[in-house]
Amino acid sequence: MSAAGLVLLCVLLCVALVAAPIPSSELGDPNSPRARALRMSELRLASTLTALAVFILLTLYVLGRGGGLDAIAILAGLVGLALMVIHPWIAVRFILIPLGQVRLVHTISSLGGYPWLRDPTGGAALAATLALMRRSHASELEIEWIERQIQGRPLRGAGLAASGLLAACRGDTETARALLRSVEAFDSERCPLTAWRIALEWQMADAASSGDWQAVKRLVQHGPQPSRTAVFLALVARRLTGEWVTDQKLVRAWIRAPHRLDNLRLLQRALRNNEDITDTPPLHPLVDLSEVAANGGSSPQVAAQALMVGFVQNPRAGVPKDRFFRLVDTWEQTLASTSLHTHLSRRVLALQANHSAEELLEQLREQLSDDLAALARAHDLAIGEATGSSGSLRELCVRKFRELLLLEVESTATALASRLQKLEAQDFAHNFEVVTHWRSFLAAREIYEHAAKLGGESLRRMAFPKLEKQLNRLALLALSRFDERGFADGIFRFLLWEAEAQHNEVSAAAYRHNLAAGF
Amino acid sequence: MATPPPTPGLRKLVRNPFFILGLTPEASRAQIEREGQKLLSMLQVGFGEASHYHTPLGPQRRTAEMVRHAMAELRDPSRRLCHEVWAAYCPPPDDCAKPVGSHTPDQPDPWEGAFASFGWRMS
Repeated sequence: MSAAGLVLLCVLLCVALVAAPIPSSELGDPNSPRARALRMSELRLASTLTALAVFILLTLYVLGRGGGLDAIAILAGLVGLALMVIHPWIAVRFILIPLGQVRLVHTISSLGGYPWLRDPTGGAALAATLALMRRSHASELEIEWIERQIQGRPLRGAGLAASGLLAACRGDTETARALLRSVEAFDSERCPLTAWRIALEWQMADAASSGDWQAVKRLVQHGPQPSRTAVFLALVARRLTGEWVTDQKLVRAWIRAPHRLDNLRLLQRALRNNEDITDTPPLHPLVDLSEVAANGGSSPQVAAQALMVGFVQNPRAGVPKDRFFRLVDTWEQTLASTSLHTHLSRRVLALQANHSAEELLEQLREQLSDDLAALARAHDLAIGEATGSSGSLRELCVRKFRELLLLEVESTATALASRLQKLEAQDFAHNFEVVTHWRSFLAAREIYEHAAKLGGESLRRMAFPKLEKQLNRLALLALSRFDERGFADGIFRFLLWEAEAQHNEVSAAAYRHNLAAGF
Repeated sequence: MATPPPTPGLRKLVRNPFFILGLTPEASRAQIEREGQKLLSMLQVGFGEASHYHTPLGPQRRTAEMVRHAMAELRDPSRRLCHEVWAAYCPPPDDCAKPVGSHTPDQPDPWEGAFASFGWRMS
């Protein structure tokens, strides 16, 4: 009787522990995702303790009453079941996801718990997406079903990762790359670590499947603690890019990682690569037919055009920027050459053209500056900060190149403004397509950052205000109307970073304030 | 052979009326008209050899619309003069076909089973 009373007392203590968890450390906002996640963790910890305590005490009780091992086994089974309900991720990860049970995974993951404490809704969708990716084929119906589970809820890290993976399931690799790359833009308050890890692993697999082993190495360096497969892939990447990795280390990593059979060929390739490094043949010297023509051309314009063709056919050879400016300078010399002037004058007379040779040369110069600027833009040459003597073709070309970049940023800002206008006109009940708007933000950011990289610091200063206003407007609208704190913070963080980089203290202070309001 | 759209900045070189008509800048007005009409007839009948033309950046697709436009451009002496400058360089077709600097130091080494490594059957 006393043993039974002791068991009851212990169970009551555990129930009391579950009902009244120990208060968490001081938190600014008790409704913040962090505070909620902490409370849920405490509840689950107390429930786990209760289950274990009940198991131990019932075992003692059964043993005291002369019960056998079969009774203890039944108890252990029941406790195992209880632990799976408290921590659904155990069953989801090891049983249901490999079986590809999309809806069941989502239902069970919706119970919450580790690892989706900071994004339970998105986490359930991400788990369902992982189950979908275990299948050989993803149906559009199921993709749409998972998307519906994310829609209408505030966007957080796991939801974003799920959206990225769903885009990949559809075959839209570009969107998948953009969305999964942006998972790290979310504050850790709103992004479960597992979601970040999955996003990075997909990016690693994507880079490896296109042979970009440098990117694989880079990704593993900047993420959270890598999984065993990620460690193996990173070692292979190091080996394939010429770094020294011992055979033993590679084999050990391969043994530790799952899916050994799938990885065996990659291991063999990496091991073979050791021999390749020692026997690398010297590269053949570059034979550029256009360069040959340029040096031995019959007229200046032939030389300039040959250089232009050579540049287009082989844009990455040598130092592209230097080759481009050589091309510009050659055209400059060509336009100033007397032979071209004489040739044009003769042809003007022969054809009875109503323009003089000088006018034609000026027209040609104007067209050339447009073409050369477009060529530099098409090949992503960072010539925005180059200088040339006033009125020279080089100066004209750089100016038009900068205008092209600014136009791209301006067009993006205009497109954003028009989308915002539509959004503002919608009624409050209308759903905010958060992933679509996040994708717009990412696209705008990419265009701006690319323009800043090619155009230099001065262009960055000119381009930022054009985009800043619309992005700020989008973030404030998402926050005030749709309570999309994670979405808005992602934009504010980017704006803050840019404002600080440009020493714009007034803007930076405003964004700091907006971000601080979220904590 | 399918040809990609011309790189921005190279339209005048790739879409040069002289190249479209397969003529040199020295061609007379009569030659231009004759060659244009001949190409239009060939395209109408569907002769395969007329469907492409040679440029310094490799073969490009030729259409009847392009031929008509090329003829119109070359009828204007001022415009023709500008096109003449751009048509000055045209290496022999064999040289154009050769991939310039065909060695690729950053040859990708793709791993087709990368997604399977993480247990994903589809990317």
